[in-house]
Amino acid sequence: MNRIFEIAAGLTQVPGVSGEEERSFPYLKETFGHLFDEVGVTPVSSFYGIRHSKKPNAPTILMDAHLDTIGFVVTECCDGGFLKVLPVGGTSEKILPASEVWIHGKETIQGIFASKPPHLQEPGEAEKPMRMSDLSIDTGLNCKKEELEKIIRIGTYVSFKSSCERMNGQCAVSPYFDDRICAASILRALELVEGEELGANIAFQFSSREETGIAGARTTAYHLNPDFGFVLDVCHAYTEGCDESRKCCYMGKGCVISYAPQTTRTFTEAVHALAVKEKIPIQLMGESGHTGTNSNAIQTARGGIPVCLISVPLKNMHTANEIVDLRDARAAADLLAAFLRKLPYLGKEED
Amino acid sequence: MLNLSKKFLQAFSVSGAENGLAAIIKEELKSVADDCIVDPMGNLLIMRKGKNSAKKLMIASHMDEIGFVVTGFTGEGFVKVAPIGGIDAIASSFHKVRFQNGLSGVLVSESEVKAADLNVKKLVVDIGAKDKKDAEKKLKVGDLCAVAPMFQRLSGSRYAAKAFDDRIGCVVSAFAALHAEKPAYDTWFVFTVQEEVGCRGSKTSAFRIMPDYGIALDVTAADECGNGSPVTKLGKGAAIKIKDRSVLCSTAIVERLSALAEDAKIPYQYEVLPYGGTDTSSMQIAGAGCAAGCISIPTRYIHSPVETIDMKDLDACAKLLIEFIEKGI
Repeated sequence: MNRIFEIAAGLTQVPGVSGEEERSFPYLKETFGHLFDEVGVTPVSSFYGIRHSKKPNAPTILMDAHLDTIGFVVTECCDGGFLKVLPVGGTSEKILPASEVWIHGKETIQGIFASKPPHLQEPGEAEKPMRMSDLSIDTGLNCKKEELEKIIRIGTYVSFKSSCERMNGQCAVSPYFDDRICAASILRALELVEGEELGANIAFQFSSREETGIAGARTTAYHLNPDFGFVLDVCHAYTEGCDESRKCCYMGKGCVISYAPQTTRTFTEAVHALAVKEKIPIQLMGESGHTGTNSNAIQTARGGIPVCLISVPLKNMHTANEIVDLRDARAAADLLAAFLRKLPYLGKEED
Repeated sequence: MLNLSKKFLQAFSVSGAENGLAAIIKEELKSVADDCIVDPMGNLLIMRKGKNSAKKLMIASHMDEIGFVVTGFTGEGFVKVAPIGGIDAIASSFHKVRFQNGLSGVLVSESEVKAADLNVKKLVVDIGAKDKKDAEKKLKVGDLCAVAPMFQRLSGSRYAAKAFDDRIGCVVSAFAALHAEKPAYDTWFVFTVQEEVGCRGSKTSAFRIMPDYGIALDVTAADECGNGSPVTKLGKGAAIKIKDRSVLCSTAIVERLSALAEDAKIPYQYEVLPYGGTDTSSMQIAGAGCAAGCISIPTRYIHSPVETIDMKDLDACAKLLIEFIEKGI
């Protein structure tokens, strides 16, 4: 558990808002380069690493987690050291006031979302939904906009301030657990099988721009050209007050295997059976349409790629305090490592 | 560029029927083309060889414009139509329209519709037919029409026209194709089809070319409200796109265009568009992906018959594009 936390804590130190994932490349190369025979980046700012098998004609297994995090983009510098921004990826205005952010201009500076204090609001104003235009980011610089524009330009990306802490029990909290916790699971799995002879090549893709579409996953999967692949992303853990139908994924009960039109059933069944056999804690989820992950982008890359979706339950998605249970992330790592050793599925659909 | 604009704006080019404009552009650029392809979808691809043929640059501007398709006729001889692309009912109604076969009509709303209730479903075309039978002699279901061409000089270097979106992008691209010195890379000037209905032409053309770098030329909102501040300002130069709803532009392209504009003293501004989509996205995700960005032309009243631009911005866009074509990354 400590090792998964260590990896996740490292990964969540480097921001990578959709559109500016390059910021995390040096750290990734430096820290995880040794797990791969080659590493590289794509023109659409995904990071990848490949580990070759010595076996001739070995299949290539893709392991995808997305590198980008939600954030904001500056649309205007204002007098008084304030910035107007728009969201990059999905967020809720409700949770933003007083959140701490980093503004990645010529230098990275700190900022805090500012809004009209409740004391100063007109009667009834608090009941109105908050809009992005009601919010601004306070840099604390208290200067003319011309001064601000020397460091920050229109188009500058803004991320939540990075942090990663242990909570009570086996939980941990960070603004970047979507989807860095899943990358931590994959990297941990690769550590577990480090030095072992495997019957498959491993292509790890840390894809860009998931929060804004499919640009990173589809292009990187095209480039890596795998035989089949795992997509790892976070899903909503059941939280008090949620709909009954969400009572399928709980914190601490294992990683989640999805049966969905956007995943491949035979592959998923093989992974499911393996988890049962190896006594790795799992939970099951049935999804009817879009999974809201890279699974569709990869499933429809090139001539089609079989996909299995594994999720780590998370609370407070797309906020500055995303909570996960480290046991679930470890279950995902154990499941991937077991798969790599046993290879119960080789990507070839039998009649 | 003014002459090219007038020439391109005259063509009928509703999404799905861009071949007329493609022929005009092809004729204009044949003297500089090292290769020329019209693909099965109707995209026009003109290639100029570069110093380094190991790399490919794709320039995308779309030939199509929004319009209407005939869906049927009323007993009185009015022509029922459905929109192609993002039609603003208020901006389009009570204007003259032109059909692909040259027939003229006027786009009107059904009687007694108040402005607030007006929407595209309430628009019909009056072609002056006596009755249904008469109308059917002149048109058939599936025929296309668009607001009739309009081109008007306003004060100074500002002009209003129908379908500057994206004829003006085609003008910048064609101008660059004609006037750029030897390109840095093999450069494909692609005039795409069906952008207004989902960036369709650029998907297949980008897949054919598999570029290393992609630049789209398209219009963007100017001097209109967006999060309290205008997305771009008319007359303030070429707009380097950061994002729209379809794409987050590649940092490498944004940085390079900014540096080129600084060095050559070309006026520029940045564009963060909260809505809309461009061919940029198709290029970025073709195959294994490429570094893609967009030079946007500030335009007022987009998707109205009086889209308004400043020729000075057009000059800035063309200069910036030529810089990129000649110098590369």
